[in-house]
Amino acid sequence: MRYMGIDIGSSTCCAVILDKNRQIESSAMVPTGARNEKAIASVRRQTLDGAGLKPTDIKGLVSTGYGRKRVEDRTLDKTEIVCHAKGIQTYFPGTTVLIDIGGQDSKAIYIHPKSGKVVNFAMNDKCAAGTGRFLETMARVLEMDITDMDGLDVGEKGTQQISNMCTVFAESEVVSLIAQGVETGEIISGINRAIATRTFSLAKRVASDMDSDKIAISGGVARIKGVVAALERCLGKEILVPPDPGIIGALGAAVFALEETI
Amino acid sequence: MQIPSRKEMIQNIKDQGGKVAAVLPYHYPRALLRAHGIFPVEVWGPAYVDDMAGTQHFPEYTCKIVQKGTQFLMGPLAEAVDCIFIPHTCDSLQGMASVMKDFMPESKPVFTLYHPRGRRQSDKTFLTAELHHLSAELTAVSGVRPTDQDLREAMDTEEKASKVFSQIALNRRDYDVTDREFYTVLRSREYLPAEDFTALAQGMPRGKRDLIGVPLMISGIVADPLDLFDHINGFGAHVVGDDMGCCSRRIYDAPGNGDAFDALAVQLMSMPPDPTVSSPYKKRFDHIVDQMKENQAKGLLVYDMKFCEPELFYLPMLEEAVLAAGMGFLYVEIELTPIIPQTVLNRINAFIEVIS
Amino acid sequence: MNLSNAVKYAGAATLGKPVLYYQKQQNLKRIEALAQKNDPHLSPPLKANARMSQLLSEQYLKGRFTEGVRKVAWHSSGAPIEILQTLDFFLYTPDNHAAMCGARKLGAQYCEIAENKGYSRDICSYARTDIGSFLSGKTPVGRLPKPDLIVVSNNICQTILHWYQAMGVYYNAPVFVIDTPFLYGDAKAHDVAFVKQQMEELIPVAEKISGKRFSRKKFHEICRRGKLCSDLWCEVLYRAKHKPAPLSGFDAFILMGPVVALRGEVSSIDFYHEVLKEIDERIDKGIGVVKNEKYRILWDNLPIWYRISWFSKQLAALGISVAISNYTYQWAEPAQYFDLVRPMEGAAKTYLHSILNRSAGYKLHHMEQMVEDFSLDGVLFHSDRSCKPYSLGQMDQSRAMLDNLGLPCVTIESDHNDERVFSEGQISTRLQAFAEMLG
Repeated sequence: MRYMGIDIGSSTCCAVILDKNRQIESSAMVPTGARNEKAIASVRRQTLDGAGLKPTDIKGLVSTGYGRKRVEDRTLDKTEIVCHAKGIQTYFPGTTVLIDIGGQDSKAIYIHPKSGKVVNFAMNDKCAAGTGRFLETMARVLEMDITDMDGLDVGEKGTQQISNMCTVFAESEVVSLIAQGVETGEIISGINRAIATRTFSLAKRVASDMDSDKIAISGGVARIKGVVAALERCLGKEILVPPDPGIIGALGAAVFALEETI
Repeated sequence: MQIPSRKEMIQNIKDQGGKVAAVLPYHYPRALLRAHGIFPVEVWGPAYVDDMAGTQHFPEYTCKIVQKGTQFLMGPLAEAVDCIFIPHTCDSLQGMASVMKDFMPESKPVFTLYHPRGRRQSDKTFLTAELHHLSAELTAVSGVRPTDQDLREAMDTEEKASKVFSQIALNRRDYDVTDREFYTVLRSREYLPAEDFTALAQGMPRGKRDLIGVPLMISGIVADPLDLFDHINGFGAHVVGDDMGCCSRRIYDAPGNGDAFDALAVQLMSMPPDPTVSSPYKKRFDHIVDQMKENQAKGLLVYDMKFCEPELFYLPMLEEAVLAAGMGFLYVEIELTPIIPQTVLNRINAFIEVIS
Repeated sequence: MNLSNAVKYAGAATLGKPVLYYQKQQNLKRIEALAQKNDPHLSPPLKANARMSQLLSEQYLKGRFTEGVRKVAWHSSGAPIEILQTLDFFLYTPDNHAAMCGARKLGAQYCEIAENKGYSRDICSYARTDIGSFLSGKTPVGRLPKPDLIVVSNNICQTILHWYQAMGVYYNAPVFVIDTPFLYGDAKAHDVAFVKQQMEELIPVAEKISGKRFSRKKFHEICRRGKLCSDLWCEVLYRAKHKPAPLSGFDAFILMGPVVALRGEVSSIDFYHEVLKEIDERIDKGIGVVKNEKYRILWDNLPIWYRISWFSKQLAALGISVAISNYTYQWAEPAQYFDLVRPMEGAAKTYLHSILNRSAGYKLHHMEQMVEDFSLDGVLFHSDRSCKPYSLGQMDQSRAMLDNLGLPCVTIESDHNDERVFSEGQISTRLQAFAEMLG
């Protein structure tokens, strides 16, 4: 008896298989691409193969993400909001604030400390600023890999600000800074700070005072240590980072599959 | 010229036991606040603060004066000011005042003033009553109940400063300063006590100004950051006049005789044609075009706050009027960033090239 | 007097009736057909919709032939129309026309015309729709009546002043402003006095243009009918207190046409009696708009005109019924201020106290009252990019709803008239997440 969750996002498509004890048997992630049916089929196959399973071994299937209605044989679909909230609690029970920074959007979710239910959420799903797309644009301007950028970040010591909110304007601003000879590490710290500030602002909309909250992060951008550190400085406290932050949505969907099917 | 910053000014006033009101844009009765012993310090953002507190209360299609202003008032100025004064200038400032009053108990007391949109007898009667009402409310902060005489004295002091202000604004060629220096002085009227402004402005070096390139008129809510003027000069132009909320839109008639509150109301209503009181379109265009012709401006640069509806409605017909008068027109929108975006600067540069 | 138009106007008023009656019957047939389809989530639309279309169509039809026949007054949706009705002006509401264009999915098209002329996308989409209609001459109603007088009140926003001033320039028509000071708290004596004085000042101006004398007696009667109409509208909205709600906020968005544009007309009063009758029949049969009503919510802010049907279906499928909106309530609540002993002062108070002229805190208090009165489970906040007076304050109101009443809320970001500011996937996700929070 296995349970699968699939998160069909606009950048990546991810699947997770759980056993009846909520242990992750396998997971896979592929770029969604222009046609998500191929991506959906691919992650399903990869996770099944990874666990040595057949499609008929899957007792419950929950889909989430913007493409959730495209999975024809789903048991049910849930929004990525409740799935992320569910997923993060498998790693960090009692999380009250979850910040998710994905490829194209970011969200802040407030979870009830006792019931584990979503109480409130805020999304930025129409602007690239503060998302993975912002980082990708900056990486392109700096002619680096995103992971290499992380290595050069001067972090707290950095004083460089990126003043523009809009990704297009910010890109132009970074080009100017490079031309002026500003040190790369400083620029990167400014970029990370810009993302952190934007995200912090979003988080505050669901939890104005986060002193007593347990805060976690998910999404691809959570892998960037510089961003997480900058965000921790904004919040003034530690943020919990799961081992594989990109699969949290799919994981939550899989947990729903388990809970709703039993 | 050594001009204290807004922060320093506030500190000076507090050190001398005075009271400070943070004032949002932009038409308001300075003399009434001073008659109460309250010093007005205007808040126009500023550009260098972030908008964190603002984004918690106002959606992203709210102008940055409101968003950054909220941050400024809840952050650096929170303890320093005694009250906050938000004139009813537009829907966004209306929202700001309403939200601060009703949902931000941690803020200092918020006062408002409604500006009647017309110029009729009924508008004057209303504004006089509104000023009386405001005065009664301010007493709670100031502990002062100004007499008619107190108000008259304050109006006289303000009028001295205002006379100097308009004298300078309308005769800028007689002062040997750069555009940036000029506007630094003019904009100090936003927070220097009237007496200090008068002294400062009268001390501005006289002499024939070195006029760089193309004569330009600027319009908009606020000229910020002041780097704008360096850029304009750098692109080969100089500023000959303005229709800005922070400056020449606040050149009022001298107050008349009779009841002081009455006279103050009439004075406030004597502002030049202004979109924030929905002045008739034609009056406004005639005023701007006449000013441009008088100052021999070759073009109008509208440097304006993004999302500012009072400004945006007038633009298409304003452009037509300016072009019909044989002058150039450019509109750029800003979000009060500390560094003016390259895209905006490119447009201004190209405009100046075209009209020269 | 334009004889040709006079004949056509008379024709529209008489011969036009059978045509419009036929259209109404066709609309009723469509509603019947929908009833037959037996949607699993939604009951068929109220038959009153057909009569509503007929009423407004009649007004627009006559509007084509007013030039040289009747004096025309354009007025904002919150303006004191009683004075204009007393002087027998033919009334036209640009806001209403703009909303209708939005509902017919013409908003973006007309907005683009205005934008091409230099009007920014950051100004209200009603204004852009209307300006676009003017600049192109396009309108879904054939031809619009030209204004002899424009009366605008800023009791709904300041934007409307700029918009109507522009119309004054375009049509070369005089613009009279009824300035209603914003109420951060309770109305002050000088606020009421100001509005009343302006209304009195409007009379000689309007008399001169209409060529008629203002009769206080007739004014009194029109105020009486206006109040009656608003009271009836209020009753209509209050019927949604029943469970399941026999009419939804979406129905109300459509049915409010007459109380906004034709308030005080006998036909509007009759119409709302009809509506009440139909709703009471539903209540007797236990029919709710949403067949499986699980949750009842409030819709805050303007409707999204071009997607009313979509929202209705999406929410119904989730078991959510929009029992009430404060937008439609605007033309009900102020009725309490109408004073038939001192009608001019009563009218002044009525227009001063428009909900959009009240503080963010008052609006919250008002919403909390509705939560109780209508037994609501949540609030949907439409963050309307075009409407700052309505949208500013929502973030705090939403937080307060959650903190004070423990009520789940959702915010959706869109625009009331511009289809380009609507993202179906994203909004659909938020609605589903809202249902997940309610459950």
